[in-house]
Amino acid sequence: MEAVHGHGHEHDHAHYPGGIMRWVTTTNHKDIGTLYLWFSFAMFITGGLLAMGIRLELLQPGMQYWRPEFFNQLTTMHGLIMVFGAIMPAFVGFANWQVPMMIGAPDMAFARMNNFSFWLLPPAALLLVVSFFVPGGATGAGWTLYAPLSVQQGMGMDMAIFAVHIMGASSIMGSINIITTILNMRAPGMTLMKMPLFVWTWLITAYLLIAVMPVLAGAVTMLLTDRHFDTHFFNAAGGGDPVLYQHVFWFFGHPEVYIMILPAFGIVSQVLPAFARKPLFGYSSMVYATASIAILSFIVWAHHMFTVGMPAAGQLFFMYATMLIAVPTGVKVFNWIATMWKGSMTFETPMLFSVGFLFVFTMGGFTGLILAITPVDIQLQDTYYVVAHFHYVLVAGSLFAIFSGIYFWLPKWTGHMYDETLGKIHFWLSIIFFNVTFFVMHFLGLAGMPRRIPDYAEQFADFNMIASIGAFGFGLSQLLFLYVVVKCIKGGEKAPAKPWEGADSLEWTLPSPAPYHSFETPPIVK
Amino acid sequence: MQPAQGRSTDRTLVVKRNLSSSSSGRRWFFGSIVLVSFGIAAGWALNGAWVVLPFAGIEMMVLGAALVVFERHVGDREAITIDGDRVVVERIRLGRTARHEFSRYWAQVVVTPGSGRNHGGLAMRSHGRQVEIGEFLTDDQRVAVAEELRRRLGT
Repeated sequence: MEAVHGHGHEHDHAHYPGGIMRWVTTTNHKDIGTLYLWFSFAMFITGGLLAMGIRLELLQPGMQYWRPEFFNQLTTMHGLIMVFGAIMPAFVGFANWQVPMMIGAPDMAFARMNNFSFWLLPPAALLLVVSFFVPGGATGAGWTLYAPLSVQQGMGMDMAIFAVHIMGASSIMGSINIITTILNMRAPGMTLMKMPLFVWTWLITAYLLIAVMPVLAGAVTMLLTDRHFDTHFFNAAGGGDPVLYQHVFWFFGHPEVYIMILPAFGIVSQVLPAFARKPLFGYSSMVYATASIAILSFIVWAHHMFTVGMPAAGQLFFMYATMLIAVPTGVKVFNWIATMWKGSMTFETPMLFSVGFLFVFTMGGFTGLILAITPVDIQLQDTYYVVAHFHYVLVAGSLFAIFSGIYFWLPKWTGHMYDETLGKIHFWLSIIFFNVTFFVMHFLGLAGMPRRIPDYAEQFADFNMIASIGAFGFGLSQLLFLYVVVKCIKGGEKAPAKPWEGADSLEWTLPSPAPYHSFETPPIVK
Repeated sequence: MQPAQGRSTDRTLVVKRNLSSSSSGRRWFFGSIVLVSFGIAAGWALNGAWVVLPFAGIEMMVLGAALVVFERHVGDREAITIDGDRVVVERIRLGRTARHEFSRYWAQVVVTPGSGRNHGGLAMRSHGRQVEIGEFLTDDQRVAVAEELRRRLGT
């Protein structure tokens, strides 16, 4: 008996529609990856415009442009849109494009569900954006939607709750698809420990997402029933406990931080070896470090709540548990450095963004370590030091890795080389303006400036002006990124199958641009 | 393609999915995620946030359903046997076998090439009857299987 192994993906032979219906009905992982990435960019610009609104008001002390309520709406929606609309969908877009190609599969396991999980996102985004225009405006409770404030707000809050529910459902379906694909559809010979690290980080991220999404869904549903159905989960007057909300939210929220950074680690782990022309140092330890970070993420949530009040034993536990995360993260950072050590490095744009990531993300990691110390955190809680910290992790961490990944795989996706000079200018503008914006926030926080305020004391004026100028520069720099990407899509130097000498994962064995149905011949991994 | 086994006059070509996990592996994975998810939900339920529990249940049902759908199709395959002057095509879907028999001398292998985003097709045809084969295959694999079948049919 002779066996021919197909890829486990049944094709219908009907002709695919063209035009807009191609995108509405597509079940192709590359199309859906493209949709995710463009959606994410649209949300990035939307959330970025809100950030510009925030920095415009904070350019000078005094109330200039917005009412305080609207300022709160800006900060809240900036956070929600960037977390759920920009960063998370961007990584799902990468997963859609890259995971099947990197494991030698023709597509995702559940192609129709893949289409559905994307098309849930636009209505959710619409709910968030339109909520600015309903009576009372968007929610201003902060992206964490803390009770009891969130129990008291107008219908914008309900819209945010529904948006979070829908985006959560989308994430769950995306995760189910990614896990099923990775576990079942790897090419012959590709064992788990031969998978590219990007695939590993997504496998672990998807597991995390499935584990914590019901917690978020439960938290916002309890908010909803407290608001409309007379329950009292978080209403102290009715016997509820507003602190319970914080515990439940951060039990989701801290793993969420890792959901937003683990795929970034994966991208950087693909890019650094390619441009150092050396294999990734300590592959196994990178896998175990990723898993360790994911496991530890479940036992550190209350470090967000040191000022809420908890027993000293609780403070100690959460302080030490949080510090423990520095160990596997340190393993990763040292492995990346060891990968570059004595490598034949060149600094094309993807490498610049990855090295930039390593530099600035590590700074964000260190400030995280400082904030883990309970007495220090009690001083710095809700100050601009915290704002600086999480932007160093999420902008310089997640976003720079996303840029790195886009420049890295853009030749594979489009079949053209991007404009290297403009790419490098984009990097330098981004990293300079990023630091101009956020580095000074450390000083503001140490000096005691609270976050989420539209006005501030004169003593904070200079650093705020610097931060605002940096933010405008950073925002404008991203238009250059859009130009580079569109230019690359429209044309340019033809990209070879493997434009980066040191790249070695399976997608580089495919021609550029990658064929619509990839891996016509199943690869054998030795 | 794997090395052929059996007599050259009685050979079967089997077209099936490539699977990188076993049924027990998939069950182990599902069991672990159920344990983690319900463990977390139960913890919150005990602390008053019982609403997490039904969401964990719904999520596990969706995940379980997805894995069941996947599992049901694991055995799907097509077996094409050339035995003397007969060609037998067996299509196994969800455990059910549909058997189609053709005369070896009249059977034609028809390949519809894929173009652009559209997949091609592969079928066996004779006397106005046609059976689609190679649903699991990519376009290049269909062409390779068609060539192999033609060689064996001697057409």
